[in-house]
Amino acid sequence: MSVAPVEVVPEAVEETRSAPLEEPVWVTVVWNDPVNLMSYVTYVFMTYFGYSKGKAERLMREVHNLGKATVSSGGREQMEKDVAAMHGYGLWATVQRQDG
Amino acid sequence: MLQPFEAHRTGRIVGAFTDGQAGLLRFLLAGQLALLDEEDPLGADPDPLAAALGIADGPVKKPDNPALARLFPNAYDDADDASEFRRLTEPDLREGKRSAARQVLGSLEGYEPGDQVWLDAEQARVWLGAVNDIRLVLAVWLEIEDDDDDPFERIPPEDERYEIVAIYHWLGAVVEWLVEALTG
Repeated sequence: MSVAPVEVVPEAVEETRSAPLEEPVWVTVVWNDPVNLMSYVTYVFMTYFGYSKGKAERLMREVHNLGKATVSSGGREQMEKDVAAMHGYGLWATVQRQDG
Repeated sequence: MLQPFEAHRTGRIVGAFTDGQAGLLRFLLAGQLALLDEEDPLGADPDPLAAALGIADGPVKKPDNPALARLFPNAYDDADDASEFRRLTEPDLREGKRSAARQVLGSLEGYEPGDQVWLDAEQARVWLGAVNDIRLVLAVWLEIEDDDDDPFERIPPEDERYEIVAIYHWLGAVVEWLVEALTG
């Protein structure tokens, strides 16, 4: 399911078209919360994203120590899918512009 | 307390509970299902046609109940984006959480002490999600707001929530055991 809005900022479209190799501009950010256990958060990153245990643990620690971590990046539609999945798992996640 | 879950050599996960634990889980799951029906514009039984076509509209504002707000947080800082995301995703999220709670409740129906609950990996994942969701809700009641907060230190034994603290910690252990059984 897509929840990307129908209206697209024209400049952004132009920018993407003229520079297709630019970094993706949307990210999934997972925020620290005092309830989800470290082992559970690691399990979610491994299960949903297919990350290795090492990468999943690194991201989990980043969330825990820094308060948040970018766990995936790409198109807006995919990020919305990822965030909805994180909410399904009970993690607190938001969609953001990479530069914002 | 005995470890309720173990990975079996068949690859499945076997669970066993005391009468009290099974009853407690059933009680919590029924409460979770009741909570998931609150503030749901689509109700527990959404229009099947609209649901099948994926055109059922969800709510546009964050739930008033803080427990529901925790289960369905805003996905964007921007209010309009958050609202649009919620409208399109919350019905499916609610249904997923409802379905998980119902499945776990079903697997505990008629449970007697000494019975074993056998779970394949997918069923164990459903259990894990449902139990974790209950922890999230209990944490809202217990007002657990930062990593260093130990509700056992903060909430006195005469407080009616004191028993919930023990349940909250036990559910945490259940989560750990299931993660271990699934990944260990």
